[in-house]
Amino acid sequence: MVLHGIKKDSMKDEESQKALQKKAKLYKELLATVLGYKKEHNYRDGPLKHCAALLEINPDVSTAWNYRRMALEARLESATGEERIGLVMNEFTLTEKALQKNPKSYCAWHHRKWLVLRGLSSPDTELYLCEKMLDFDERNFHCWEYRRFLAARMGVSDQDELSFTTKKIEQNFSNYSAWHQRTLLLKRMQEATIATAESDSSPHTGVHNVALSSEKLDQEYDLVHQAFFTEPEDQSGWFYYLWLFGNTLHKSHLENGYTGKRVEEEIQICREMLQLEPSSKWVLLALARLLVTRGAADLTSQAEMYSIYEKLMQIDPMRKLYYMEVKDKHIAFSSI
Amino acid sequence: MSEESKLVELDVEAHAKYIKSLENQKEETLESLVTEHIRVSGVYWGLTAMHLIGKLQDMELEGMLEWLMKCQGDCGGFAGNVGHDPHMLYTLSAVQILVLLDRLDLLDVIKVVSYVQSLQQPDGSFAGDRWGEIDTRFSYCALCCLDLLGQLDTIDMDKAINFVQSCRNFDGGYGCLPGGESHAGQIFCCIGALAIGNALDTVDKDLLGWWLCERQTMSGGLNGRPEKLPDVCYSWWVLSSLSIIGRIHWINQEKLKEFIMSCQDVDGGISDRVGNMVDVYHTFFGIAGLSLMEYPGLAEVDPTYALPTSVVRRVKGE
Repeated sequence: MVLHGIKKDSMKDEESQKALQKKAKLYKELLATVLGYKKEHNYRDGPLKHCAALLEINPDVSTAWNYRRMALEARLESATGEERIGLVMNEFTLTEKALQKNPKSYCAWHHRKWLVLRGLSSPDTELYLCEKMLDFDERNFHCWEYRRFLAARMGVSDQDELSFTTKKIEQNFSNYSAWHQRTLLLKRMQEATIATAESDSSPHTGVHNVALSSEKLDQEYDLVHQAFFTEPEDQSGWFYYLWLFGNTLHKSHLENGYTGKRVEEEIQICREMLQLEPSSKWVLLALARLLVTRGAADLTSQAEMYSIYEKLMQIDPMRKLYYMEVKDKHIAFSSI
Repeated sequence: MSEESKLVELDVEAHAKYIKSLENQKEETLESLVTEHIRVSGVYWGLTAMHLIGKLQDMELEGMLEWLMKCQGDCGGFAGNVGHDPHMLYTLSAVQILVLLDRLDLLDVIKVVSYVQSLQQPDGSFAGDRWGEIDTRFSYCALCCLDLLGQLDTIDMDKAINFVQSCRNFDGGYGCLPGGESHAGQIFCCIGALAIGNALDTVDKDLLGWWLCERQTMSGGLNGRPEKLPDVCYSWWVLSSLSIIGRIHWINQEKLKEFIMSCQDVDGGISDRVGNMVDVYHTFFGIAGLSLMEYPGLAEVDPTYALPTSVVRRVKGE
């Protein structure tokens, strides 16, 4: 684990130095001891306790977690009743402590997953851990990944998981992780509703040739509108909005007229927002992209699109070269 | 040189001194101890940084190489340090060190290759070790490692690439696993893997390039995903990805350079952000990021292999 976020002069005083030296000595001894136990295949309670003490200081020593798994594999073979329960409970307690210390510890999450895969935990316990961790940090991608793992294992419906993302988004529109999760669920739900083999969408290429239905799109536009009406500078909703637009450009929607209608509605909405906030970067960018979809023949729209990019180059100079290049590329939205 | 003017230029001497000071450091400080288990990567970061600033000759290499080879397990993989378990991450770092120093003669290539091969899964993904954690980081490690050894044909490349492609998200980015949220570190791994596999055609470069250039915050520094704080290490993960897809000019390089400079410590080393403690990881990635932006005096770095370009050319026989 590399040391992120540690202030330079935070530990220079003598008392802190002494404490650090003491901790260093303890850590060094613990580490050497645990590696020794591992080498000897010593899986008794005492050694496991030492290992736990080490991991409580540093949850990222993967070899120590490996040792614990070797110990469990060996002992669970013959352990029964209380001993068994005790062994397993220790792992739960330890992983929770480790995750409190470092909520992003790959090793700790993996160890927990390993316990579940061995049937040593109940889904409810794990979901509860997930919810607690997401309440603490709604952007913890390890936790979201863990939640996906649990949902798949428990057969939780995509609809239920979708409701969970709605809940998270309504708590905080700026939850990019929840919006991301939404794209997965909606895509999967749509693919599941396609009965025929006509769709050559492969769930594993990340590209969908299957778009969301117009009903679904209407619902999603309503949701994302709430997000950017509430806070236009919150970028998460805007990334999602552009993805919705990619879906809207699907050939099925072009054919049934939905695209044309939706483009005009969204252009109108963007214009209204610009009246209140004329220099809102995200609204300007969205409008520029929407105007591209009106087609190259629509010279007025193209001219407006160019002038929007000129404005963006001024209000968001950090990305000047991006805007300069992309205005000639006539980029609307991707179809991912 | 005044304290202030030091911060607007790369203080190569100070950084060389800092990295050199790590060389013979006995594992006594807590900081050193808590990173003991990843030391092999630490050495790769330190040595490559020294190469980029033209100071590799200052390092004591023989003793280090002896120690490095002790980190190799019977299975062929390398651990992060003696006594620890082998893992894909340190296997790559070890091979990178040996390639950097042109000491592949020390390596039983067949053994390493068989270790990496053994970790490929039926769906093309790679586990980190025998305990089965799957992550696109390990796909990158596997492909980079094998490519440096000229042994890419020992694994199922089609499946490996398909798996990476299956991790592409709505925003053009990539995550740890299929469905994993886009994150600059994972994006580097996936784009690097796709570059090695000659499969960049499935990357939506305009969309991803835009997502990546949106990582630049008001401070000029880069974050790893939306709404997060900037961190010097993203000067590498984001920039190398942008470089590979030909859009490195989409970020404001002057402001990023300023940010990296401000993260320097007058005593040497670079930290994750201004005012924090330095470490060799951020020192390397800050320098590597500056190299990608052609900062004067730095050797050129290859964005795919995270090694000096001259070294990659040598290895690939160009």
